Amino acid sequence: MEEKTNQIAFSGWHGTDERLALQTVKTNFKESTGEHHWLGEGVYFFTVGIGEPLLHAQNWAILEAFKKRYTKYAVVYAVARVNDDAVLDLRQQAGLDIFNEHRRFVLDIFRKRNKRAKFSLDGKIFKHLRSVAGIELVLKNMYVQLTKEDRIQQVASRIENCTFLCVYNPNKNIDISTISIVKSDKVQETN
Amino acid sequence: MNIDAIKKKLEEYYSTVTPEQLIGEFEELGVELVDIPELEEISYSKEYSSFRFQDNDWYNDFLVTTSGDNQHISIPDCYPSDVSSNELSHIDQFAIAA
Repeated sequence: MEEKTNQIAFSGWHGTDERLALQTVKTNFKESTGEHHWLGEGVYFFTVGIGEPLLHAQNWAILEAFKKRYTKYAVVYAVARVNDDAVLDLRQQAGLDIFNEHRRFVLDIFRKRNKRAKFSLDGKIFKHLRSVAGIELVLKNMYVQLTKEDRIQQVASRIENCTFLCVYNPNKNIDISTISIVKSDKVQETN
Repeated sequence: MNIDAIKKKLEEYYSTVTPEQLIGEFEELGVELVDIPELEEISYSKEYSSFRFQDNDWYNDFLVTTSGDNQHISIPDCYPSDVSSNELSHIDQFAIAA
């Protein structure tokens, strides 16, 4: 990894299929791609903040097992290191102001040209901020379903229950030497 | 988070980017942009309304006349904006996202 000044280190816990976890330890993470990701295309971790990130990652991995049909899960720990000017912290008012001002700037130009985006723009705003402001990592408190009961009851909430870390450019920003499996087990209905 | 450094980068960007350039950047990111029909006239029906105007009445359905077509829209298709017209001067300002 290249040397950086004013670096900040962030710990993250990522729950997944054990087979993918074993591969990740050897080759580093890959960005999740697609339009549906909350904070854009990147690697998503639970991190220190609301609740217990290791437990969140474990619960997430177990819940995803039923959808993605794997029988053993793992929680992967890693450290991301980025410059302080590449961190967008949406837990703070100043970070939200940056995002909202940028979105407003973009939408105003669209409107002046009589245009609107056909689909949700959030993920693309993050991607644009990566390009024009060098953002490499986003922090945000969010609500996600973390138990089987949450999903059965289809709980939808705006009250956050965990803290997410989304890291872009994993090969650049995640130190592969820090990646390790900190928990693995058979998938059981624990919730 | 170094907010001053991020702001500085964005201010430099805002001061140099052209609208065409920005739109091109978003299209390159895969954003599909569609035209907003040009607004010529708006009228509304009071019946079945669910939107409160400044005169404290409630309205829901709007007849929007665009260039060549009439269409009914409902309030969820509208969003707050700094756009106004004579027809809308008595209600909160909004634009039509048809």
